Amino acid sequence: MAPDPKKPAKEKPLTAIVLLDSFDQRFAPILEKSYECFGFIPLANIPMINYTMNWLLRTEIESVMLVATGKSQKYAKLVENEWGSAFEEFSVVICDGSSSLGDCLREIHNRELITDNFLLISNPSSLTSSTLSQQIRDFRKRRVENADNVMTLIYGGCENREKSVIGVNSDGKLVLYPAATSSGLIKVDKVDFYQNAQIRRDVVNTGIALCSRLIVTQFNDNFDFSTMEDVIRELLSKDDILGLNIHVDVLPQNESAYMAKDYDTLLHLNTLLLERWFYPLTPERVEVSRFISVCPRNIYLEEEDFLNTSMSSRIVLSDASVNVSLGIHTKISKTARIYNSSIGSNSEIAENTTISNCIIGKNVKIGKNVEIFGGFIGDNSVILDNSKFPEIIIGNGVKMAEIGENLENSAICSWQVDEDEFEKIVAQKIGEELYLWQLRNGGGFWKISQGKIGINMSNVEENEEEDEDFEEGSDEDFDVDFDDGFDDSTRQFYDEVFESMKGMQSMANQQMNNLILEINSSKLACNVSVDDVAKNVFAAFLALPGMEDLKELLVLIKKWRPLFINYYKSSDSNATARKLEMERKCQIQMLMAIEEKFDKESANFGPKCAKIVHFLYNDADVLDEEAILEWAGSIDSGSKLRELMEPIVKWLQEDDEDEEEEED
Amino acid sequence: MTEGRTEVEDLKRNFVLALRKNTKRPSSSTISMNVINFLRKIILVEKVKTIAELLASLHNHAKFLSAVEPTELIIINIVLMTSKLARDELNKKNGNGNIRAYDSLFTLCKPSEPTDMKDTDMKKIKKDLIESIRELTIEIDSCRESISAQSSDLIFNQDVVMVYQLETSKTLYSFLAKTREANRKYRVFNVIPESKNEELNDFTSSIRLHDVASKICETTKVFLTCIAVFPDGSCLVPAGGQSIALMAKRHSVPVYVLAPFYKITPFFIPDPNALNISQRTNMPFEFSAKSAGNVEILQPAFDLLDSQYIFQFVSNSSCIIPAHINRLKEDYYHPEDIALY
Repeated sequence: MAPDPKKPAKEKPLTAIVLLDSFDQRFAPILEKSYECFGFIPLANIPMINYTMNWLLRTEIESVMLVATGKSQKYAKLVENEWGSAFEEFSVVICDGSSSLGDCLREIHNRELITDNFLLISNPSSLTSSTLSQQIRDFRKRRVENADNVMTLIYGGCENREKSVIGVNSDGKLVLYPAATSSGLIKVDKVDFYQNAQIRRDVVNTGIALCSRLIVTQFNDNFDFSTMEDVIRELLSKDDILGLNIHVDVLPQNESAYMAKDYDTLLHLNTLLLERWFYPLTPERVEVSRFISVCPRNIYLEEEDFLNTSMSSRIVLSDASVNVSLGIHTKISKTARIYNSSIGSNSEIAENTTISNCIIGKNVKIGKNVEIFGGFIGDNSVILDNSKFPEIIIGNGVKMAEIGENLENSAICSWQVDEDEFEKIVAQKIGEELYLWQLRNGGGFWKISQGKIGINMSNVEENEEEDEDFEEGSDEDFDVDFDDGFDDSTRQFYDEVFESMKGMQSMANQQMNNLILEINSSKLACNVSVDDVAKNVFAAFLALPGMEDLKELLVLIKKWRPLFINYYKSSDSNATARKLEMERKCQIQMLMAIEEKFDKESANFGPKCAKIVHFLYNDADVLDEEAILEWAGSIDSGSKLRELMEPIVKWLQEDDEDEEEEED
Repeated sequence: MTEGRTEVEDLKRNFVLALRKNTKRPSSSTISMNVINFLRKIILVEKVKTIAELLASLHNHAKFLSAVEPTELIIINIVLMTSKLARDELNKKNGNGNIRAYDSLFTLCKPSEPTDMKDTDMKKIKKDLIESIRELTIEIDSCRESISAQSSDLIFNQDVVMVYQLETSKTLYSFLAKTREANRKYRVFNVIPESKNEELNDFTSSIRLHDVASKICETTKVFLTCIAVFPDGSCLVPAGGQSIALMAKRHSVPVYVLAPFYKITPFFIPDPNALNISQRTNMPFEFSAKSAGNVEILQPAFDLLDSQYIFQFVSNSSCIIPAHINRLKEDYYHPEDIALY
């Protein structure tokens, strides 16, 4: 419903939609058998959802809709019990079986729960010190000015740790947004510079968005949208058709806002909270029924009972320790040094241990001379004396033993991963009740940029090396990709096609129609050109396992002929000239794929080249003679491939002449 | 009401939440009014048989609230005042209402614990207590007015007055406004911290904290607001107040502190640092990316101002020298209640 422009002053307060869960599987090691629900991960020993509710109290929001999956139903009830009375309206929406933000919003749409503009908090760790009053006012003003201003994204004025960039024009309208595969790169056209697009890296996404009802409709219309980014990309790419505008509101420097997306940002957020950047949102003033006192150097002590609280600061930690939150009954040695960490109740830390940037659970025992620089340690875990870890993730109840393994990019848990539920994680047993969890794609749990496991790309396995190259590339001071060459979406397309083919190859009943459908959907998803499709389909085919053997390759070509016919040749005999021209281009791309493969591994592949081309022309009848001749003519004259192709070319030319003669 | 909680607990929760809902701290008179309203509801809702139970429950709530909001001493002050009122009601009933609790002989004839009063009609006492609480609210309400009324005795023609953070205190504002109504001609310097924006005002000239040193020579009187006054005559003032007072001391300028009676805290705080919350740092959020966890930035909310820097407290009844604060607390609190904290 568009707001009535006649009386903008009398606006109904927005409804807040708060998600209680995160759908990122990288959090599985600390959620499963532990906090279970993302919103209940403690920051400074207080479940993060309580911070969210607390800052919402200071905004104009009067009605809150808490959205949770079926799994965290009981946690949603806990939140309702705690905060229900603080808002005029508080409802819990359980979206059973949802696996993404998109699923949840579709469910909400289907139940017709949204009737007006709303404030979306897509991650319970989205925190801000602001009341957002100015931002909400601006949003309403924009809505009145133009009903097509459908969304305002709230950004914090701080450089983000993923080094992602956005492009904003002078009115605050979002014009450039990075692609799903690389948050640090955006494509800039000349026209963007004419329109005064500002490329900004000094902002951080807060996960807070002011939306009109249309955003939910977008999710509903596109059943494969799972995250907000999908909608943003859709609206930007179809700007000329839909004409909908997204605005970006960067909070002023005296307001803080942040959101945790991975372990790295989670620990950073913990430190920011302990350092009181979000004042008046501070750990001691969040939960009504807990008693936390603040001592100098930002040390937070929790008391079990309010009768014991004293009005004097106690000294429980060494002088060197700063920014620490301690739960009740913690036993910390006076010689331990603790920085920027929160430690759960009943935990013990022995002498000479150094802990920095950690979130430590309850009943954890940490030995002497331990050094941990960054880490997440689950409840009831034990860390041996003299251990040293950089960035570590330890699940619940892990009794650490001496481990020879390299712990980089992995998490340690005391149970085997349920691979049906978390298909992106593999685990290997490394000791008594010790399992090393790793991401299937080889990426790290720690940072999102270390290996994406976005939910919508279930059949994408990213090439880790490639990704790291990207990282290094984007670490450079320039983040804008001017290069139109082998860009990222093509790479993604290639990977997806390769996966689909691999899957098909392993199946007994090989239905080409299904494969074609899969490839087509990948093509749409990655938005690649026809040429790229033609080239990469065959390149992926050549890369399939078992294709080193020529015989097998030829057999498979024959078997998969319908696929190639579909992409390279139409069976339609009276096709138009234009269509033929297209086909020829596609076939040339196919040959280019062969050429590329030859360039890479000429020793192995070289002798087979001519045979494959011949087979494709003669037996499979996929290639046409014009295409082969045109391509062969374009090969670099010094190349060995030209030599190899010489016989075929000659033969074809002879053939041609014969035909001509016959015709004559 | 939410399941699993009693009505009293809900009242407590809502009270605390209402307090925290504010982005800026509401004025102290608003807070004290809220506390009184909260206590009135508690007294009405809770079923107690004896006055001792009533007192115990009041103290219990006070301790809870002070643990949750350790920096709001006003909460405890108001609860203690209410508890004193309850004791007075009991004494009135027993006919020995004129004994002053602080008279030294009192300890000798100290009545045994009020638990003995089984025949006491609790309903009557409750009713009277609610009535005297109502009187207390009237007193708090009129506080601003009675403090302002004294302004014409303190500010004269040709005076140059320095105040700190005028915009945060309504009492200070009405104090100055009252003298202007009386057509006194004087100048006002309003000191504002660097982080705040200048607010234009028709009768004050704004100066920054670093200009205090140069302007203090022209100043004849300094007026400060406070958060809490302790029995030894020291008080908590908004951060920055101490440096103004030190400057004033050096130039022998008298410092007055506006102190409504509900800010007088009856007990000493061994370590005022424990009360001193730090606020958000004044650094732009941009810096947090690099500095978080590496730099310690102090941004305390209050300064503890020693009694030697204070010339007089302006309370609602009269002006009091710091040494007399200890005596003044007798009017509002009962020694046995204070002993509990």
